[in-house]
Amino acid sequence: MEYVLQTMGLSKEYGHFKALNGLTMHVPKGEIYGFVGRNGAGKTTLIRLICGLQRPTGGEYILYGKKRDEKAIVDARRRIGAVVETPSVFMDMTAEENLRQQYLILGIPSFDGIKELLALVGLADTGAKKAKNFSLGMRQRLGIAVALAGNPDFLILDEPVNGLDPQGIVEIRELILKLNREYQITVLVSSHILDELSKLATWYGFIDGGQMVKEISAKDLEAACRKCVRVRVTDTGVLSTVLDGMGLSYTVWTDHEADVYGEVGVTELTMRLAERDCEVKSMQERDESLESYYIRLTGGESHA
Amino acid sequence: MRRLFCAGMERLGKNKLFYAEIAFIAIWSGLVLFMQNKERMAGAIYAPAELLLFSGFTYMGIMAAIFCSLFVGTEYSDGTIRNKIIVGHRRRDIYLTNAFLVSFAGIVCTLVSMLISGVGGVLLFGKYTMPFPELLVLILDYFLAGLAYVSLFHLTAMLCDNRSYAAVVNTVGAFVFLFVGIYLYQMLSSPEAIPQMSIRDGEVVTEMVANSHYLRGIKREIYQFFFDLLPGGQMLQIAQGEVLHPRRIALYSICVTAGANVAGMLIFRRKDIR
Repeated sequence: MEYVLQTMGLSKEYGHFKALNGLTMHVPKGEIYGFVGRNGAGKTTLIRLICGLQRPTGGEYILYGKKRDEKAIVDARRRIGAVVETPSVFMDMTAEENLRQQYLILGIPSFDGIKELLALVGLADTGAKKAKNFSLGMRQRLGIAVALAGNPDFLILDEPVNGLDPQGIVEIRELILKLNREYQITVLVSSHILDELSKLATWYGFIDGGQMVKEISAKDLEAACRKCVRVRVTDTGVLSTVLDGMGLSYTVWTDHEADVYGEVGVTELTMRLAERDCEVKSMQERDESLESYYIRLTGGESHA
Repeated sequence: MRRLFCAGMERLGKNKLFYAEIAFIAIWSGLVLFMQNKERMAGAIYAPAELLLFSGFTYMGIMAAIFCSLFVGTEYSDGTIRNKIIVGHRRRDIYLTNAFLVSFAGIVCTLVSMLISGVGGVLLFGKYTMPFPELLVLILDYFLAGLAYVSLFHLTAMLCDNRSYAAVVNTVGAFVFLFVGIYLYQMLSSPEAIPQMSIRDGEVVTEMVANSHYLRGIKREIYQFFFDLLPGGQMLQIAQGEVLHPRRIALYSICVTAGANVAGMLIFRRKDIR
């Protein structure tokens, strides 16, 4: 698999606080990588390091095959576009003026592509309106347009839907999907809004306490978030014995409740329990959500 | 660096604060001319025409402090400094480009002030009395002192990522430079002997006695050193037309400017950008 970005034991300390603690991650080319973690988990810190805004205190990263201390990392960075925390736009300039600034910074000789870029992010009709008068969603889209000005192969978006209204969230989601599918841009999206991320990501990285807990493809995650049956019985001790006998995996939650995974033969299970004087009160089919998967991964103390 | 420079110049060209400062300077310079002319008409002693060229010395430092803080600080508050780093521009280039831009703005403001005061001064008060080479040195000193001011304020603005905080620190700094300059000037211009009146044999006698506040020896040298070194002191000397060491203050200004920029670049290179 070809990776756009790899980090090996990356660390960043602010005084005595370890924001990143030996983080290792792999962002495959062409994917939408959902970077999941609670607030303060280290998502933004990683992005700042990759973008060259801060220096790591330990470890290494490789961006497009270039190590961070190589001179060619500058060329590798020219292939990325990023929106870190808040959109980086001049508030007293219009959308077009902001893009002109970025074109000049990039050394793009012609401003011809600006109108097209504004149309791509849905800001073609903003005219003389200054960015300070934009809605949060419009600013976010302008930030993405600025990040796209250099035709990047790799787009990094830090919490792009934070604070947006439902309409804004849908617009950003569609834009990210369009950029990935039509322009083959690899996207790294950090977020703690798991439901939203699950509609986008094709690959996931779960970070907690500055460390990578798990990296998994969306396909594998779907399999891991397997269906289960929530069973309420009079005695989960009996249920456990029966399920062990049937070779089914399960999780006992209380003395009366358990989740049973895999294909459950309801009749057989009910009969076996009845033989042992255990009554089935209810059965309910459930899907494990990305949220519960994340909570299970990180030990259940998440704010996500 | 050329790309950063082009982007910066375009931004400066759209900057309202820059034009507001130019307008303020034009009005102030005109006002100074008007006041001087009023005094001349009333028969009072008025400043020589050539010294009107430096009439902006009182506010130049303060305006440079505000402009540097807000122009550079906006890059932090709006986050646009990140765009430059992400696309691979070297931090040294970013620092130097911004230093150049704020210096350029300072030079334009100084030129506007000098142009209005210079042309108006000649028209109202006649030719300059100071020999041209001497005046040229004063003008050069004035510009170099201005650049030293700007370099110091730019250093603070680049290293402090809170725009309001940088503006407060720099503005207070500008006032401190000005007041320290005035204090040093007063101390250094204090006469060696002062007249003292006494009554002797029923008659009032005036005699010259040693001034206890007069600075002597190493203490005077230290005061003079700081008066020559600090931009506030330099500006004051130039505005009064009393520059004791014109070459020395030019050298000091160059050293302050170079020192501030080198130190700023070194610290900015390692600075964590949010």
